[in-house]
Amino acid sequence: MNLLTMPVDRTATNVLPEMQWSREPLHQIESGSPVRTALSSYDFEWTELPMSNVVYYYETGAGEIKLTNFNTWVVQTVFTPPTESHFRNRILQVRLAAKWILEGIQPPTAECRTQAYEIWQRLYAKFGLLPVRVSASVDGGITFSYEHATNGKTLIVEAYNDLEVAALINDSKRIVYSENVKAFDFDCAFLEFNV
Amino acid sequence: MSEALDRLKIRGRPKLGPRDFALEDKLYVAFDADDTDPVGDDLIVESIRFPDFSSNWSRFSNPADVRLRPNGRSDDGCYSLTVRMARYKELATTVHDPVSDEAYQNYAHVEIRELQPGESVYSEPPRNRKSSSRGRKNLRLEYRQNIINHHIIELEIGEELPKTEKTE
Repeated sequence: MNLLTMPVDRTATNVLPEMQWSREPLHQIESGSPVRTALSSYDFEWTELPMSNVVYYYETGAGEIKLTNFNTWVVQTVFTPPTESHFRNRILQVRLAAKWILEGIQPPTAECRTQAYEIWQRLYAKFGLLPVRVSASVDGGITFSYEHATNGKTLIVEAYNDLEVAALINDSKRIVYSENVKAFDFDCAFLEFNV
Repeated sequence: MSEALDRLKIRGRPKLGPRDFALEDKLYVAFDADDTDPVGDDLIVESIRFPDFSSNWSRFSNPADVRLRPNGRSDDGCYSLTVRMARYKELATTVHDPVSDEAYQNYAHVEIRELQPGESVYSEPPRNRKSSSRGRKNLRLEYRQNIINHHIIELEIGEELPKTEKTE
């Protein structure tokens, strides 16, 4: 069994501020009582002990955890939310505003979402990029917006319902680069974004 | 409101051609909260419709008149782009398209319509023309980003008008 701890004021890594996991105590645990919970959507449970600045987290389905017996605990220092599942969920959840659907714009298709996730993975794994915004595009697809941490440039990547992909780099209200991306090759776009 | 509606009425005025637009004429476009970044309130590129989106010609209307359109709301915002921007890289052009419905007339209505490669900005593409965007996605994205880069907010969402300009 695992038990993880996290200071109450710690922010999760690799997650945008507005996307931090909410942390709601399920119940108070009396000292010495076994920890038992129901499964959450992530198969994990939060609980909060009557101790300051520490939140305890553990897997369910294992044997009893005795709060008074530290030998039953496996403690890790930081809880890192699964970045991949977080962004996969965001891609799955983006929706087109109702007014655009009424105007006949096609929302992102399942194939488009799948491809968008592959693009997100590629940009994250190869270049360490995480988007500041994931949204549906009125041009029929999904848009990722990235902001460079130091040079002020913006990278826009759009995955369309016809499975084409385009990238654009903007710098101080000036378009400096655009391309139709083939075979998920973002090398040129990243170079322009990074210089 | 009646003053604005009178301003938009056709009153026998003729439809104008593509050469009647001055490059610095403004085109007023409505927007609402769905078109903005929830964090920064700025317009976002993914909410810019292209092609075939509607606007009002500044020569015949005021920014707040966009609130009078069918399905418009009294708290809609309004941004403007110029005719020069609408013809960015000759990907699209402006078509004067007065609305003459019984319940709503709008002489200022202009549609921005996509051009096929080789077509002149002085031609008038038909409404709702089917066209393939294959291989042109980056140009379409550029077109929309150019609007983001150079638009002017004429009226914020929910902005009150001076009494003399009230539309309702």
